[in-house]
Amino acid sequence: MDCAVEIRSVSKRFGDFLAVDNVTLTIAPGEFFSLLGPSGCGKTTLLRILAGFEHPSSGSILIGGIEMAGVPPYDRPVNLVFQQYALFPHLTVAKNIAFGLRYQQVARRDRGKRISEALEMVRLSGLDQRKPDQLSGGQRQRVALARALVLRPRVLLLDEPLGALDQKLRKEMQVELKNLQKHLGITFVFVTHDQEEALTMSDRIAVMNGGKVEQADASATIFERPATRFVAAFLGAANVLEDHTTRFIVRPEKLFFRPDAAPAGGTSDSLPVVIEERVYQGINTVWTVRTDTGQRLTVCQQNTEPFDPAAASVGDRRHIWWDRRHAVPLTEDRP
Amino acid sequence: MTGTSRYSIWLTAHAVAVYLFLYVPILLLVGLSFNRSPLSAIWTGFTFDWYAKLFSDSEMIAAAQRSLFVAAAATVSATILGTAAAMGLARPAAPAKQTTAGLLYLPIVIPEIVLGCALLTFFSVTRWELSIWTVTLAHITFSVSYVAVVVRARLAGFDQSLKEAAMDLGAGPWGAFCRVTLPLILPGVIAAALLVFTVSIDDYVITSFVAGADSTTLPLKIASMVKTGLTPEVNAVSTLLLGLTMMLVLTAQRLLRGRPVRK
Amino acid sequence: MKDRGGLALLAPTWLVLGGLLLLPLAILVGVSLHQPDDAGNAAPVSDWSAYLHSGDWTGNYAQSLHPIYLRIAVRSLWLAVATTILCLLIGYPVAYKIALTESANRKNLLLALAVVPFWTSFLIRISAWRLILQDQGVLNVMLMHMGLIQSPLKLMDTPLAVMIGLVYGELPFMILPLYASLEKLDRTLLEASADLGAGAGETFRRVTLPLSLPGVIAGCVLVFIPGIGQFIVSDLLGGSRTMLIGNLIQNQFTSGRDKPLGAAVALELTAAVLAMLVAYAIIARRRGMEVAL
Repeated sequence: MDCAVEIRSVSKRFGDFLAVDNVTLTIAPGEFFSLLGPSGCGKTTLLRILAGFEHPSSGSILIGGIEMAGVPPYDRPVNLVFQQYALFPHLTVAKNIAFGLRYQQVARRDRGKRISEALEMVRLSGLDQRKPDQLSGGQRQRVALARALVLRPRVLLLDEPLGALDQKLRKEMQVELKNLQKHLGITFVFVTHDQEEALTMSDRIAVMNGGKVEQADASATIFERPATRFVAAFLGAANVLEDHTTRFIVRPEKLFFRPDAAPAGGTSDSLPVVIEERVYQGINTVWTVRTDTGQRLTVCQQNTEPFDPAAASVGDRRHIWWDRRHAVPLTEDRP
Repeated sequence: MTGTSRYSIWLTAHAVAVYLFLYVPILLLVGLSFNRSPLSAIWTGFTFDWYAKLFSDSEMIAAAQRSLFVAAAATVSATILGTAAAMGLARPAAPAKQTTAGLLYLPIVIPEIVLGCALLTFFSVTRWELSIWTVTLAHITFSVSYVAVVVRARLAGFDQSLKEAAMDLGAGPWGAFCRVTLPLILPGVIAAALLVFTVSIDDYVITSFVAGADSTTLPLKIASMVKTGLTPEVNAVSTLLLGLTMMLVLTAQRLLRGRPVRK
Repeated sequence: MKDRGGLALLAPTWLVLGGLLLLPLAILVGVSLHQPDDAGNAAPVSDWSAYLHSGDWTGNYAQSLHPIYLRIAVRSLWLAVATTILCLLIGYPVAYKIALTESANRKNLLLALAVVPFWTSFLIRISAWRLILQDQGVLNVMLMHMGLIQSPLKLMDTPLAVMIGLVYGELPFMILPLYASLEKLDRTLLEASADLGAGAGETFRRVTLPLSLPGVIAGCVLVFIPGIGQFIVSDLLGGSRTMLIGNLIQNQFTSGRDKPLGAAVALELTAAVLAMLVAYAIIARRRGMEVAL
């Protein structure tokens, strides 16, 4: 079987509103795939279509090569980790996790084993008799995860599961989730609006905007070689430069200051600028500069040298250089 | 805003007075039910005689039995119908939702007198003899609405993603209902049932229209006794009825207070 | 049919309410168009086209506008209005006090005590007042015992007794919606008001009262509407002196022997009630208030 999930020209309409616009994606087995985009871009709707809670207005979904049209959520080999976890408040942790085992004809004696395995996987052993309202946010998140994983789905869908956690916990869970996925080898489809999160965990990312997929590629490719202006902007400030024929993007950290222009025929290009603003951020310093044509660009430099007040400051004239390999042409002709 | 300010003292005094106003008549009723004197107000001594008389009054017992029967039958039917209606209305694609919701409010807002007349006329036009069954049917009519209103309120706070989670984990719609929805709305359903039982047992106006000569219920008996001035026994039976309904209502209150399922 | 499950759930209710509510009401309308026979039932009409042509079918409605009946309607109306105003004045401070109670336990207790009368027998609660207001009732006995009066006060079968009974019976119906509305009041708004210089009275007038308006209106509706249809209070405490619309209707169906007239009055009452509720719903929606019923 070549792909775990195949989304073929799927569109979803709610009345007049087109939430998902002709999306085609393939997700390979064992892949950590993220749907990344701002709120309202259609990523959650797409996920719910995969889970079976929405029917596509057109197009089809195949999971494991099998057409999913007309297949209800309870018959699909996928499981969903809900954004607010949706733990059953009247059941203990153990009973929550055991909920779906009944439908898999797992013998009663084996259920206990599967439950403890699941609890161990998410490091919650010992909490099996607690009720959800006795757990912290992070613990609830893990129970939701265990409840889905215990059923050994082909594909695990996750709807912004880390959204409600605080920064530190989020970062820990990101690493844990990634390791868990690698260890289990299950295909993960992960929805998030946080680009850093997507980059940290994913093998491949699909960036969505207004119901369409702007670009679907490996994480590094999305970051280094954004195909459209939206993708570039969504993954960190993008500087859009033009030469006579094309528009291209250079990431802020790929720009550096030199006093003079780059020589022709070399590996770098340059532009003269005036420094407008400088913000010290500890690890980096971020500069806003203005070109002769009035355009504003962002430069980001890691502070590898100790702070030197005599270095580039507001009002100075400099040249910004970039290696031509770091100039990414835009494939769209939108301005 | 709180504390021992002038307003606060007045507020407390007023509240105390109002609660006294609400409860003193009831307490007097209860107290006088133990009064030895048959001429109500003057206290002549403590006695259980009037209660004893109740239990040897066969008409009274028959009336009580009828009331309990009607209440039980009406409660069971109304709870099933009303809960189904509430759940039906909670579904996004349910047919004629607004009309049904309006229909359910009708028995509650229409004055009892009108309901009583309408049902009486209905039974007489259809030549349906007034009996304990006509009373039961009448009680079901208004009880369904009460149940639907109470259960709807509980369902409104119900987290839909729980149902989806159940289906995602493999439960079909019926399984999701039995294992997730029902256990979580059950306190509300039981509370509604208790309240409706109370309303049925206490009902006077509508019952007075649709009860036949041999289907006197407890409230009808009490009313006739009140009007003919047989006070002490009436106080005793009223006290018992009040006690029963208060217990049921307090239980229902507790059930309704316990954590609804919040989103 | 798109939602079969929804249909299955709602159909039984349609049947029951259709058959036991709508149908009887329709029949009642029919009865109101007939003339009474000797027993008081609707006399069958032999020639409908003649009957309709003659205009006799409006007979009962015309009769209901007779001064005797109008007087009863006006009395019911003004009693209901007075009851509503009294309940509001008496009930508001109580609801306020409960809503502002800080201890959750005490609040629940106070609320429970206010709710219980709401659900217990109206009949019994009103009949308790007979014990108090009768010639040999508790009140008279006490006053005579204390030497304040020589002979018993005639309190029963008076409009005063009906008034007391109405307020007593309906008070919980006012307190609960008021409480619900006041409970939602954001305490920090009161603090902000004080911080900006408003005294307690000012804060109440300019912040609390306007914000509790939905509750006030809901409470008034919940007291007024059952109030005009009252039957028990005037039956037990008012005697023949204070007949209200409810008693009038009941009378026609029993000793008065004029069911068609009773039906007409009953339907007029219903129409009035429904009209008021619709007006309430429209006004509430237009002002963006929550319809707190």
